[in-house]
Amino acid sequence: MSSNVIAPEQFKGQTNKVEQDDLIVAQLKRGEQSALRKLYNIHGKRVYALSLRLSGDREIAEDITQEVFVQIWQKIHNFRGDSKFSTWLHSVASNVAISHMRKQKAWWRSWFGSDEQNETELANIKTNDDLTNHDLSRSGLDKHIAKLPEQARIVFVLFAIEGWRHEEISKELNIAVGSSKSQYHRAKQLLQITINSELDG
Amino acid sequence: MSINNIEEKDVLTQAQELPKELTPERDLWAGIEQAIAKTPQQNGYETSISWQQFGKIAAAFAPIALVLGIWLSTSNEASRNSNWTNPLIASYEIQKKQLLQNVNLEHPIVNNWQSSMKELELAEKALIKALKNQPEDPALMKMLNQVYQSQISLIQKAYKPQLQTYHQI
Repeated sequence: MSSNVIAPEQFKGQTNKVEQDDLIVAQLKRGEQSALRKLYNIHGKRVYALSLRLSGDREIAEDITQEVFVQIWQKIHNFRGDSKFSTWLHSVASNVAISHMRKQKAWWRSWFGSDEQNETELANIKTNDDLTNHDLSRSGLDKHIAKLPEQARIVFVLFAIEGWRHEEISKELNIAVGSSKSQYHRAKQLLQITINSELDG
Repeated sequence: MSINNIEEKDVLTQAQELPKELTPERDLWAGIEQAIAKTPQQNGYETSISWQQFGKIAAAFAPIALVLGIWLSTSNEASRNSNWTNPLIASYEIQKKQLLQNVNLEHPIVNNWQSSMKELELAEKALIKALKNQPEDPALMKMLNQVYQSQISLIQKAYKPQLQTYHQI
């Protein structure tokens, strides 16, 4: 079966999830707090994964995740149903994460720190993982992503993992499309360098 | 180099295969529950009423907007900033302007200071934009203050001898 053909069970699963989201949104709009709990149970881990990868810090990711669900509660009436609810939720999560990170010192260090400085920091990362072949452990790659310079990390996560376009990233981060592309290439190169240096022992 | 070296495309493939869900180490629900108990929902109905009234309000303010538009189009950006942004921004803009007025811009002692200034101005714009969404956020205000101080220091560093002479006069 071709990879882009959705199996009937998978299609049914996706449809059920959308219907479930619609029901929860209606309950939220009526002010039912229990609906937010349901929403958190369904999407909490997804939002946390995005927050953790964008921030590269567990505690900050926890704060962001909580803030996302509080904002969903507050702003649910802004969701008009023009897109899938999960798309809107991820967009809120990315906005909250980036806004939260703008308040952190590291964000501004990534603007003012030189490339050389950032790359030296990256080269000094010490890890205990025993990686002996191409098949990186998932936690291994996440660990390297977390250590990327802030701007490069955000662009890489949004583009490579979340599937955003560079135009969307540039708008969100208030940077040029070209900068988004160059940060992405920089992230890929830095990841390649650090992973290979680790493989070389 | 090891024979195990990975290529850039392998990095992308690995990234796309990362799990979409991760479990936080602590329960985050309790904090959310506490926060929403104190947080009212923004009412969509009130918002739509406001939009209905918006037309009338806009019509009432149209003459003022027209005068304002003419004034904005004839005044320069610096004067607009000093009138429309908060006192912190205005005071630094004046300080920056005064410093630059008293130096010969063609003779800096630090090369490429303008490119550093551009980065700082980019940061300044991003912070002002963020402050529009979160007015008077103390962390943002503090960072904006630091960005302005860095701008002033950069000018002072680039034109140190000239500015020393100016202050002696």
